[in-house]
Parts: sequence; C-alpha cells; structure tokens
Amino acid sequence: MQRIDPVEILSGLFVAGIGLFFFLGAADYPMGTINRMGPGFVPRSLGAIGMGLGLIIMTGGWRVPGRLPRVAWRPLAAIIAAIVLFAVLLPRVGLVVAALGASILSMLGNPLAGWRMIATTSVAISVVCWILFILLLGLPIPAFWTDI
Amino acid sequence: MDLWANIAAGFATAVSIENLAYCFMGVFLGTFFGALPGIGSLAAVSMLLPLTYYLEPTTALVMLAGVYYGAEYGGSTSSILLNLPGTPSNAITCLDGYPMTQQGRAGVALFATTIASFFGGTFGIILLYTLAPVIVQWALAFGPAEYFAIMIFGLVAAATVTQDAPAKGLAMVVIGMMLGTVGADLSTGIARYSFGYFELHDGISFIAIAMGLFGVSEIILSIANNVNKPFIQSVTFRSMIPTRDEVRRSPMPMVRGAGIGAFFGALPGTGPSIATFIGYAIEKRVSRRPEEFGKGAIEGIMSPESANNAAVQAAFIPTMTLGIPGSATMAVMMGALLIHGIQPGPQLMQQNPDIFWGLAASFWIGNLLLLILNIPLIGVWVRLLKIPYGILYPAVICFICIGVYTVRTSVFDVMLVLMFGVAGYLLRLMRFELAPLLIGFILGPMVEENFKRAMLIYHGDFTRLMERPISGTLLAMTALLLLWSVYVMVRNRRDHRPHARAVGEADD
Repeated sequence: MQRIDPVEILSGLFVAGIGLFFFLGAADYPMGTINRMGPGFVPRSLGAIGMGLGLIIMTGGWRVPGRLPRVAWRPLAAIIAAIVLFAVLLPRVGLVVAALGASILSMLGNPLAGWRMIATTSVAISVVCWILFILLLGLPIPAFWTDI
Repeated sequence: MDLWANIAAGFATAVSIENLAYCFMGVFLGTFFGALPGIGSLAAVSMLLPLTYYLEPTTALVMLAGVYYGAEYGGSTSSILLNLPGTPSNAITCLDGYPMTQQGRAGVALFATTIASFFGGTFGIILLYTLAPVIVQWALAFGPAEYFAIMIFGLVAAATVTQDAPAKGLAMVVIGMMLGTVGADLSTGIARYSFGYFELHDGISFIAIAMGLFGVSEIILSIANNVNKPFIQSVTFRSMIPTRDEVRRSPMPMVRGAGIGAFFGALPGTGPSIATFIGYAIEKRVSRRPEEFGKGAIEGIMSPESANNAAVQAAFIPTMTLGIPGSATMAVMMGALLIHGIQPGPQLMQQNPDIFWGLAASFWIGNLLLLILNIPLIGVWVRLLKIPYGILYPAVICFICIGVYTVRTSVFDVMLVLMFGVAGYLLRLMRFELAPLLIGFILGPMVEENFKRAMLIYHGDFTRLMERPISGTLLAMTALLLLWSVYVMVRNRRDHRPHARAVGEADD
C-alpha cells in the first residue's frame, strides 16, 4: 500500500501553484503602504496565504494511504468538444446549428446513446432552443446564418 | 410607514397578475430542476437568469427567488425516491428518506418533508420580516471595519464549518478571492491579471464561473456515474398518511431545524448545506433513539428539510440589508439585481421598498404554491424522475452556453465556462468543495475594498479593528474558528481517518 495520498499532494501543489502565480503576478502592480494600499497589496497577500495553505494541504497527504481517482475521459472530452463547437458555430451559423452540433457532440460522451437517440434528441433540442430563446423570449442572438 | 403598511403594500405588489404568474413559473421550474438529480438551485438559478433580463426588477427577483426555494422543495423528492440528492443541500435527506422508501413508506416521507419545508420556509420569512428592518437600522451605522469583519467571519465559517478538510475549504475561499481580483482596480484603474484580454477588464463573469463550476462539472461527473435508475414506486394519497407515533415525533426536530437553518442562512457565506448537516447531527445527538437514524427515522428528514428551507429564506436577510450574499446562490441573485441597476444594501429598503416588501410577500405565495405542487401534484415529479438523464444533459449544456453567451454577447465567456467546468470537475475529483470558491469570488472584491477603507481610516493600525465592539467580536470568533479547524486537522491526522467523500460537493 502506498504511504502517501496522491490526491492531497496534488491538491496542495495546485493551491500553492495558483498562489505563486498570483504572488508573482502582483509584482507588476504597486504595493502601496499599509494605510494606503496599492492594487498589488491584496493579490500579493492572498498569493502568500495560498502558498501557505498549499503546503498545509500537502502535509495532510503524507503517510496517509490513498489513490488517484479515475478521470472520466469520454464524458470530459465530449463536453469540451461540445462547448468549443458551440462557441465556434454560434457567431458564424447561428443558434439552431450551434445547438444541434453541441447536443450531438455532448451525447457522444454517453456510451449508452445510440445513433437514433442522438439524432432525435439533438433535433428536438435545437428546435426547442429556437422556439424558446428566439421566438418566445426574443433574445438578440442570430437564429440562422441568414440573420448575421 | 409602519410594518403593517409595508406588508400590505408588499402583497399589493406581489399579487399583480404578472408577479403571480412569474412566481408560479419560478417555483414550478425550481421544483422541476430541484427534483432532477444533479442540477442544484445554483445551476438552476444561473440557467434561468437570462430569461429575466427583460422583466421588471421585482418580477425578475420574484421568479428567481421562486426557483431557489422551489428547488429546495423539489430536491427532497429524488433524495427520498432514488437515494440521489436533487440538490446538495438535500443530500442528508437521503440518509433516512431512502430507507423509508425501501420500507414502502415513500409517501409518508414526501408528505413529511413538504410540511417540514413549509414550516422552515415560513419561519425564515417571519425572521426576514422582523429582522431585516432592524438590521437595516444598524447597517446604516456600519463602517468598513464592520463590513470587513462580517465578511471575513462568513468566509471562514463557510470554509471550515462541517468540513473534514478545513485547509482545503480555506484554499477554495482564497482562490476565489484571487480570481475576484482580476480586472480593473477600483481606485487606480490598473487592469490586474487581464493578460491583454479586453474582456477581463471588467473582471471574470461570475455567471461563467457559476455555470462552469456548478453546471458543467456536475454534468461531466453525472454522465460518468450514469447508473441505471432503480424502480420508482408510485405514490398515492393514502400512502402519505403518517403514523400517530411519527406525528408526535415530528414537531420538535422541525422547530430545531428551522432555528439552525435560519442562523446559518442569515450568516453571510454559509448556506443551506451546512445548516442541514448540523441539523441532522444535532437531532442524532438529542434523540433517545439514535440507533434508528439511517434506518428511516422521521426526525432525520424533518430537521434537515426544515433547516434547508429556513436557511434559503434567511439568506435573503444579509443580501437585502447589507448587500452581502447569504449563500452562493444568493450571489447569483444579487448579480441579477445589479444587472437591473439596483444596488442591494441598506439603502435598498428605503429607495425601493416595493422590491423588498413585494419580494417578501411573494415568498408566502410561493411557499403556498409549493405546498400544492408537492402534495396533490407529487405524481408529476415522480414521473419526471423517470426521464433518462441522457436526454436531459445535452439540453442543459445548450442552455448553459446560450445563457452565458447572452449576458455579454461574448464567445469569450463561453470559453470561460468551459475552462471553469473542466477545472471544477478536476477539483471535485481532488475532493475540493466548490461553494466556498464562488463565495470567495463574490465577497473578495468587497473584502478588499472595505479593508482598504478601514486601513485608511485607522492609519494602518489593525488593532483598531479589534477595539470596535462588533468587528472585534466577529474577528475574535473568526480566530476561534481557525483554531478549531487546526484542532480538527490534527485530530484527523492522528486518527488516520479515511476521507469520507469520494468527490467534493458542488453548490449551496
């Protein structure tokens, strides 16, 4: 059995890393004095606190058994692809196609979804989005490429 | 104007056809999203926020508030029937609610939690009515020292109370506060951490953070755990009748739960989830039959559900009187007010009394509607739970993208949602809780601003903060909380306690 908990070590490294990032980043902004604080004062202090907390979290993973959790790669990849596609398509071809594409890609993350289910559900979702957001609510979003 | 005149004026606002209709829509959609496992009140409110842009501010708030407390009612349904919490603050209800279902007494559990929710909600509203005007009087005399101390205490409490890992909770608050520093500094206009992106000058869109952390991360996690749903038993009216023993055992837990919920709800930063954990723990301790807990004890669902709804209503107290959000979801609601150009705070009740009193009156109406929605119409929600998740989540992804895009017509914000969604998923795998991050993000800039002002007034002498009675007491309590967390960490280490949770909780 492992004698360190990798989750706690990684968590601590992550927190300390973010702290370091903000600590160093604040060097570009004036610190000011304690009674007249500049824009750099608070981020720099927070960065220092973050680094300290990161170290404390890391010590919590020492000599404690544990193992890394499993990452669900397929749903993760599908959701990333779906949102990127939505962001790319929306300003170019409008809401209906963007919603269609995003639903199809996001459903690929579910190993149980068959082609028929993906086709019917994604068409239904894009029609619902069109009716709800454009026709009923009148949001200022292009519905189709003709509206751009 | 005296209290009664205000209350009457509030009801006059709340019963206009438009407000009634949106109140109904809010509680209906809230129950709907709350009943669906995996979508909490925070994701529901953020997702429905764009629908309210073109409404009157009061109407918009009435609807969003309805979504918030409606979700807490609906959330218990899936906790009881499926053993899957509808919202994280209903998670505790699974412990005794699901065993009741296994014993064929789902009807009793659903009926009892609705009554407890109604009781808790009512208690929270009465507190809102009585406390808010008093707090506003004090709040007008509050200086930056008091605001700073209240917020620091709330942040530390949110991060440490009920956490197995206080250091990780505090780390989330601090990371949230760091993200809150992004954007133009208020006094100098220097754009901090904007990396040349013009979009970051106004700061990170908090809708993008909320929907990413709470909506997108939850979906990724839920697809992975897409278990086959167990058989759902049908619920009849006859099955809702509790036994005489259960009726006798219910009132006290309900009252205690309401008190606990109201306290933690009114405290800025801590929300309903913490209240339910503490409510359950106290019931278990005071009960003469602690061995029954976890096996379908009625006290184990009455207290958390009452606490939950009391906390939701009480969370409006600091939001409306001080402009400090009482919970993570309240932060989104405050964002909604700001979008409509209304600054929550002590001035709100004087400048826009119709908003405050109209909203408070709509809570009564909303809670009554929820009583109807959750007892005679419970069958609708039971059937809803049979919709496969595989059909729902692609629609939710689209709604999230559309919602975020519309706020600032910005593709950049859609990419931010994605970034925070992935980050939220990984953080939850690392057993971080996400609600403290959002609270830190919202309160961070206010903490910074008030700290700077206080230090300016007191010439950089921090001890002057300790000498003022209110801020001194709160800062001393904060120090005690921190000491207590150190003790918890040392104790956990010595006992080599295994980590209780596989993944962190999301929202509040």
